[in-house]
Amino acid sequence: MFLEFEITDNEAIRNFTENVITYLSSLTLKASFSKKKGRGDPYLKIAIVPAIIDKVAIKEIIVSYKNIKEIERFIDMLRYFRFNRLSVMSESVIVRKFPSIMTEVWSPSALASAHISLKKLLPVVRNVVCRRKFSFNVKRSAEKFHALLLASLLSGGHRRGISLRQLAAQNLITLLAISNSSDEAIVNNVAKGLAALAADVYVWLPRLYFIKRGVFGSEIHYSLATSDLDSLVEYLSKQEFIERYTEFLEITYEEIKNAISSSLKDNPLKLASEIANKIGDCLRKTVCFEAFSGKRETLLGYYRMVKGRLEEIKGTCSNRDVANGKLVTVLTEQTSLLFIVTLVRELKTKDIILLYTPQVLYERLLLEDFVNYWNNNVSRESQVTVDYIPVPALDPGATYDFINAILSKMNKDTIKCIIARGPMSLALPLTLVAKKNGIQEVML
Amino acid sequence: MKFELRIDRIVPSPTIFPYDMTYSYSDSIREYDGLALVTIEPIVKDVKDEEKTDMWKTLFFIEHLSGDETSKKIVDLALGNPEIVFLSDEKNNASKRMNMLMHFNVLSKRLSEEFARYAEKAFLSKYKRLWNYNYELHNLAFHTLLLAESYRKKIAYDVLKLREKIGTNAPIEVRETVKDIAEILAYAINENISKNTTRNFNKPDKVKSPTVGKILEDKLKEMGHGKFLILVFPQMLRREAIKRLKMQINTLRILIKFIISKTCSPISVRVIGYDISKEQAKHIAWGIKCLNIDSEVLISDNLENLLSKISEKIKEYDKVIIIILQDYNKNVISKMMDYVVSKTALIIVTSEITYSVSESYTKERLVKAYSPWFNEDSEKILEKLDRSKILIYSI
Repeated sequence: MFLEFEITDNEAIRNFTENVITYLSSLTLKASFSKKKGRGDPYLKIAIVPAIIDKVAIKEIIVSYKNIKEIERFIDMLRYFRFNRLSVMSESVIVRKFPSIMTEVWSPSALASAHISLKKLLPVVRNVVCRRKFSFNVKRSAEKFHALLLASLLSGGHRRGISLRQLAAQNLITLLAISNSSDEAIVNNVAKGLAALAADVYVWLPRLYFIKRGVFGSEIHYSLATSDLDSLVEYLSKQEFIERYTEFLEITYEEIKNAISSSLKDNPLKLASEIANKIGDCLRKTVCFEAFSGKRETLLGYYRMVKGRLEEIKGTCSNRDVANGKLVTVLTEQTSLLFIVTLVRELKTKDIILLYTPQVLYERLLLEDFVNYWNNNVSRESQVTVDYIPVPALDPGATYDFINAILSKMNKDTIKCIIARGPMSLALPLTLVAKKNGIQEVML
Repeated sequence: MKFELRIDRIVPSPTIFPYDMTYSYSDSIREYDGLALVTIEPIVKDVKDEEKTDMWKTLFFIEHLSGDETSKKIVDLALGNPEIVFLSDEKNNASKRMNMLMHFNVLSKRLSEEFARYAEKAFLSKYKRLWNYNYELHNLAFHTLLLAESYRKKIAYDVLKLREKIGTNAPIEVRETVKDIAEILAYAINENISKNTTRNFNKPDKVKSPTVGKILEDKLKEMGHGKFLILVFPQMLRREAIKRLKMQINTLRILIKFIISKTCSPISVRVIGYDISKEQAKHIAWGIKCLNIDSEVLISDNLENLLSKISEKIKEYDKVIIIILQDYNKNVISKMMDYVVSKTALIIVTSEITYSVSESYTKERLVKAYSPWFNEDSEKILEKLDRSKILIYSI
């Protein structure tokens, strides 16, 4: 099984490649490629093929292209990011290029041998099974979401890489709310993207943990929704890894596609919660039953909790006429467009103040990109204004001082509700300041 | 047209820590020797140039070269974004060894002189006080300098917005921190935020921030005498994190010993264990047995059951102290706040890791990420810690 991104529109190719580079560089680069067209029809295909070299799990990226200006620069940048300290890109990604349309090699049955013929200097890749492919036909206007999906699939097993996967999954669900929900291609792309992310998180990352312990390993350990990562890693190391990956991907895709079709696509919160349940079910069915407690889910599990407490949140916030005031909350690693859309749709809020800590600098910048996209693509009633305010979190005393200083100066009547979430050093001061100033608050 | 370059301020040793690794006590990704905030002004020479009097602000990192720092240069190349001016040092022949472009010119010589002046102790004291209070936002400012220009602007405007939102009644450290980072980022995006603010920063400041020990002592005095209940909510750890469990026990010992010494009242401790953190709670309760106080656990798999146990226990005591070690289930904390609202209560939230500023600028790194709770004697550590490091709040 391999994943394939296919784009044939010149502008979509440019936006897609620019966004991929920007996201992979951790926003240290704002990539800009030429607007000029090539001589013929443009063509770009990017395949992600999971493989094993000795015991090490790697991903091979094969880029096939024709008639695209500056595509070589894009490929060179991808290669460079493997070694850049600020980039999120995983070191276990190998980038190769095909400077033409290689239809016959691109067929799944032939792709494995293409790998072997390509590697002149690199080690021989074994254990590549390409029975099927997951193809994303990237259309104009949805390229931002697909770029984030590709960047997150290429990122490593560290905190920011996992956060990027969560944001990609959550944003894909909101894509359904923005797009025409009867568009079958969008539904398929979203279902495939979510299945690919789930397989990446639950099969790929634990396999990385097999060789990458220490500090990075502990990040995987804390982020994955397993009760016993060690037994999962042991299980995966004994199994045919690629076959487990493929099996899980296929089953999850079918389940997610069915969940989207069952009229939930216009309710992102319910859909996220439902898909989190489906992913949990598929994990227990196909991967390692003992390892998954079923209580948490990494990609969308947070929204299961939000949905569970929605009535309580509504009770606290909706009665206070939130539509005509400000809602204050915290930007965490899991704050994606989905969270903002949930606040807009469920609480009718239009004006949000998001407090963020330096730990989520990149998530804050990504969120603004996607919120702007949302505002440009929905009706005026659904648009939202977000103010981003940085506050510290490692020193709880200082955090209290900052939050107190900010909220004390604001007009109390304009703040209708506070949703205190995120680290306790931030959530608790926010709650205490809210209580002191008589503002309605809920701890999430 | 000629230009004049004015060095407005030099920030000593800006150290950049990676965000995603903060909780791993990570080392910095880069520590420069300085950050220069400069203004470039055209010198009007003839009639044609009279209208072109715009000045612009910019900044760059300063790196004082020594021969064995080749690896740093590789990091600089990988980071890409920040502009660096290398200072020449005639005593060593580093320039010959470094096989890359360097700016050994008039600017470098001028910066060398300024740099020596700024490294004086009196100037550093103000930075030390600010950074001891909170370095995190300064790290945000320095990290922002590595971002692409359009993203750098967004963060700069966030900080300028924060500056507007801070009231004049805010603590002086808050106002000065925000003012300082706003100024650094204003230089980064060539924005004028206020006139002549930089020069004032050079004056050493004599305001001394109270320590955690002093504040905790005052709060305990306010609570008076009576039966004290200490409820402990430890952050859930995974099985292998023995080192962090030891640290939780150490933190608790330090705080409880301090509370005992200042209250002279009977004290009971209950460590709260919920779901899979039950075993951890037992270990912590066992770990503080050496203090010879009544210490037990309150544990349950069921949230309602646990809350009712906590509620019952709180009713038995006059005074309640809640200690949250880093983080805990927000549902439990939220409900528990309702139970203590009619009591004399104190909430303490500790943080496992913070940034510390070194006493000696020349011998070691100025800023490092560390945990204050390892191998420290109680009185010493609480008397040394800046008040910002722990949240102490009376209900």
